[in-house]
Amino acid sequence: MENKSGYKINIINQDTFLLDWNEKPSEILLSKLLFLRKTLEKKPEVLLCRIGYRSLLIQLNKKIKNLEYWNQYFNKILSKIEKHKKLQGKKWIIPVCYENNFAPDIIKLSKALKLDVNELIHLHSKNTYKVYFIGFLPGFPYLSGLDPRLHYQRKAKPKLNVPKGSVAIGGKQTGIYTTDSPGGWHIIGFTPISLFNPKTSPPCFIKPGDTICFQKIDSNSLKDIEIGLQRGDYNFFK
Amino acid sequence: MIEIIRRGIYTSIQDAGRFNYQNIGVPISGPMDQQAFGIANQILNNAYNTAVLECSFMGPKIKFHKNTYISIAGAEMNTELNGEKIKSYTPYKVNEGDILSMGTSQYGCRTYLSISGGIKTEKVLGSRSQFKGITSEGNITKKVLIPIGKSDFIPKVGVSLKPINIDYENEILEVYPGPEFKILDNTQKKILLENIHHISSLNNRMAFRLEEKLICKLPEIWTSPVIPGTIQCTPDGSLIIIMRDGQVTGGYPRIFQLNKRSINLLSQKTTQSPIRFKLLSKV
Repeated sequence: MENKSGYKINIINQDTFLLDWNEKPSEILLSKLLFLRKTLEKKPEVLLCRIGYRSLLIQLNKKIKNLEYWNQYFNKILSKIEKHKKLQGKKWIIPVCYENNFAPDIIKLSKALKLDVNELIHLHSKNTYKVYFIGFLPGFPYLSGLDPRLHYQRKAKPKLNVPKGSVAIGGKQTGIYTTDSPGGWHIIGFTPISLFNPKTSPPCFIKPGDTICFQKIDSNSLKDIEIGLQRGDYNFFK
Repeated sequence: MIEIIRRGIYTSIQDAGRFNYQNIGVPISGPMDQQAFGIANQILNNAYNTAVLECSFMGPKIKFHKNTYISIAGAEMNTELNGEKIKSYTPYKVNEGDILSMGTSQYGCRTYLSISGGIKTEKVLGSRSQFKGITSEGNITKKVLIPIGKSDFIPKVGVSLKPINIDYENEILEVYPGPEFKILDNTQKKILLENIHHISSLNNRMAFRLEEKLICKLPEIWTSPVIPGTIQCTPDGSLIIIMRDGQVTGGYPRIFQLNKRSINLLSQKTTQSPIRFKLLSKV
């Protein structure tokens, strides 16, 4: 079912549907998705609402009976955000140590990309990245904004264990492993910042719509930050 | 308390699941076979969300440190209480010092051991379901003592609850077309819907991968939400079925979605089990 707001509704199962926009992910679309999610989460029959780059999954606490009702309802919400306000996210600075000991794949990747290692680090740390959504692993942010010169296909064979804190590049994306996990991205650095902790509230401080920057640090500063984090006096919010 | 003397092949604590954190990438978890889980608790008048042990392939050996009632449901594992075989779907009284020993699964794959009053481990993010990185252990990894609640069960003599229509050997999994089903051509659809497929050795609480590959060249998609029962097709044609501990988003085309009954049924299957897909046109 297509309609004037540019999305298509897919029925996933008896209580779940997916709205899918046939357009390139953008901050405008992201703000639409976040607005829809915020509004829908207040509706009692909506159990949960999750976003992807250009899609929104909605699960009801009952069976979907009247698809047309929901379609009109989504359109009504979307018509209320004609003026796309700029996303008011927070800005985070994530320190990253790109030294070889912490970046097992950086030399290989720089050769494959025909870049000098320093140039690779510069291209990775100069941009600001927009957080689109959290997925894959607990707290793992999907980011846009990677310089096209750093795009490179994932490893053919994923590594069985990528350590928590690894900063990596895969395809057109860059990301931070938030827990130890198997993974097929190229590891180019390490951050001491923990992006996910089930014992804190909220467990994940980064939210869709926020921006993050990577700040190059050396292994001495890495140690200092680790000590600061333990003491609780390190601040990385800008 | 109950004491795990032998942990079995893969035993984990599961309540109904961790519902409100998928937005930050945390899977739902919860029982693989929700039906068997529900029955095991129902037999003891436990609330639906009561935490139980999910035992896969070969169950644990347990010593009870408290008088209580138990029930088992799901796969048949030749379970013995103090050396005497006990039946599934029936409440049993156990006394302090009793030993429960579960064998290997004969029919089905996952058995649910419910205890009156339930398992009372610490809740993390609203749930006791074990998941690596959330709870301190991802499953029962060693000999441990597990706290249990107070039993308030009063048995009715001779009552047992047998579920109707349980056939773990049924090969047919019912699916709805997934959001990207339409990008398949007719030959691919025909192969998927008419052939018998088999579960590969890569099957666990996160996902089941099928043995047979689909010959195709499907593009990756913009990463989008997935749920348990979503069937993805990778660029090399592997079919991956997301299960309860599976990731919450995926970048591969979603060709099918299992209905709820079929996720439960699949949970009772393992390596080499044959399956066939039946497409449901209407949700």
